[in-house]
Amino acid sequence: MATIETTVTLLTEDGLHARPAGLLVKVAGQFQSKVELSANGMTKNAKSIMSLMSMGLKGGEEILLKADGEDAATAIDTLKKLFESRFQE
Amino acid sequence: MNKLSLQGVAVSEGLALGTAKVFHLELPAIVETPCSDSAKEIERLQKAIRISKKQIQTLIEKKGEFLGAEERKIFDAHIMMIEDPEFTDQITEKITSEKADATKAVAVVADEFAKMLAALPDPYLSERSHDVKDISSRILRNLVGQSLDFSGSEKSKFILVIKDIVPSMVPELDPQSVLGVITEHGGATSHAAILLRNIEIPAIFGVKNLIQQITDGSTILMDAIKGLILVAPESPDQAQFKEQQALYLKEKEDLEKLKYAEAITKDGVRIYLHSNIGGTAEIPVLKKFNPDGVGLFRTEFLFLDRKAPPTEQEQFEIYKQILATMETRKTIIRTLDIGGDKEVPYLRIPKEENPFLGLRGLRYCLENHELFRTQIRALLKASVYGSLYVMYPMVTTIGEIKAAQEIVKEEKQKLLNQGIKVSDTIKYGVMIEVPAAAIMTADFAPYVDFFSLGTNDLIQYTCACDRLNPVVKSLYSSFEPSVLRLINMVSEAAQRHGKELSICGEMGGQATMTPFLIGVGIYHLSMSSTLIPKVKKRILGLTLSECQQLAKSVLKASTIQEAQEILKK
Repeated sequence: MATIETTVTLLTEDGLHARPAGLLVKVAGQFQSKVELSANGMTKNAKSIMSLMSMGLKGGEEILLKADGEDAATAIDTLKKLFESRFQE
Repeated sequence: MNKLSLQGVAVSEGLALGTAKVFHLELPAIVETPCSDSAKEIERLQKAIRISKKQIQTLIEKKGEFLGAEERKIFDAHIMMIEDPEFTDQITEKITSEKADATKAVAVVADEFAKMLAALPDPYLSERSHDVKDISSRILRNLVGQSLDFSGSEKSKFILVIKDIVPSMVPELDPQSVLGVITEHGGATSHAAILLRNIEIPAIFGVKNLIQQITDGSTILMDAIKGLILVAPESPDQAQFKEQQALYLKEKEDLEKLKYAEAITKDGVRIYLHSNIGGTAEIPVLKKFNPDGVGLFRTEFLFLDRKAPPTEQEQFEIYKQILATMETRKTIIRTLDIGGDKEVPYLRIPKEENPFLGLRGLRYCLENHELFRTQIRALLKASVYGSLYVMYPMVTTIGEIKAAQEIVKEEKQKLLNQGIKVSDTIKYGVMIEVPAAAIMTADFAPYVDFFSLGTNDLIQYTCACDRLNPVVKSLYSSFEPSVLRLINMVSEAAQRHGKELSICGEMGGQATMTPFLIGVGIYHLSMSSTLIPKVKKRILGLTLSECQQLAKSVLKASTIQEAQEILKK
């Protein structure tokens, strides 16, 4: 078991709206690991669309990604790329 | 029950005769007493969740083609919410540790999530709380086995009578068994109305005290052309109605055959018929009526019924979808036209003594650059996906056109500097709806690529009569000779300067006016999609020379009555 963390910046114009949030849930859901997002003092389950949207994240915000499990390294790597691609905008 | 007639607004055309099925929208009761067997309760929950998910998936599969892109996204989001592990875990937890009844657990957890979302400052996210309520209602219904079953069967066709219909319900209606829809709330421009037109279910909205007046099982006759409803009609009424219905269906069938026919006069003049639209929900209608282009996309609909203006990205997606649907066909997108009778609360437009003569259309945009620039950027970015025509509303002077074009130039340069592609073939034009602009058409010509006549406003401004004020309504007419002469002037000026002229006001879709418009040289007519077949049929029976003859005599008319007599012959 491994816990891996990394910091990313949310680059989408509208913040974490339904489309990017949905994409994040889909990608995070592919991994066995527990995946969490932390920002503004909140930590939420990245596999939960409602939790992600309720964080009310805005464009430009710094986010801590954390994965815990067998495939944590791949999970973090994949998610980091998703953030860097501005959620394929 | 005694015979009774009711009036509403016809929002989806058609005729229907059938039995009323009155639907009540109350949710199942929440059970407050603790459950005795948590394991059993969790099983019940899981089953309800499975059914809910299946229902939405079936909807998307079966009705996907009738759904606009926006509605499709809403249902996709609903599935994700139903599958949300935090949501289901928290509900399960409530059942296990607090021995809560499944209905109670779902209601409490959904309420917590809905409240969290509703409290967010971002208006888009805060509106998602409605989606949470929507899915929790669905799960609650499935928990108690109550279904909002609109499906009926071949044998049990019915007319749905309901207080209000939300867009997400419409795809659940099966056109095979739902003969019509009658509601107490809503209007012609609501999303639900557009969707009902897409699936061709006749509908009448806005019938006062509807639910109190119609009992379940009573016979109803609905005329969703005039907006009339007859409850418990007598047999002669029914017989007459059936005759009318047969004629209507025959005519509709005939018009249907014209779908792929080109609108050409008997002597070979090609007339172009375009659609007026209000959003992506109308994409299925565009596919169905196969217009030569979009003659007017009223973008103000994207700004209504929300708490903040749509972002650049949201607008871009919408314009892109419309442009991509129309491919190479001309697509006129009108920039934001608010003010006048269209109110948008979050824009906090100051109250004006005479809003129709105030800060409307382009005037407003030139005073509120940020809003305008956002829209222009979204349009420019989307321009590479189709044949974009940008149109400014409520233009009065050349100065306004220049100011708007200057902003376009600046935004285009900024995008190009960022490496974003913008089409080089975008056309720019203005609406002719202010008499000053109509008179100055020739002078405007060097600054634009095209013109489009907005006849509704042109009539009201020319005759100085508020079209919404019933007292002066008699002054407002499509047959008003001064307006007809103005239209002729505009057309002559546009032709002289080689600029394309179209018409997108109501007159464009009135088959009575078609020969006059062609006669004065307007070959691009834009109208609500459903009117296209009728106008097309009219054109197929005309010749250019007879239209020109007719226009000549209409232009000599000095009263509304005279013009009307010539045109209605």
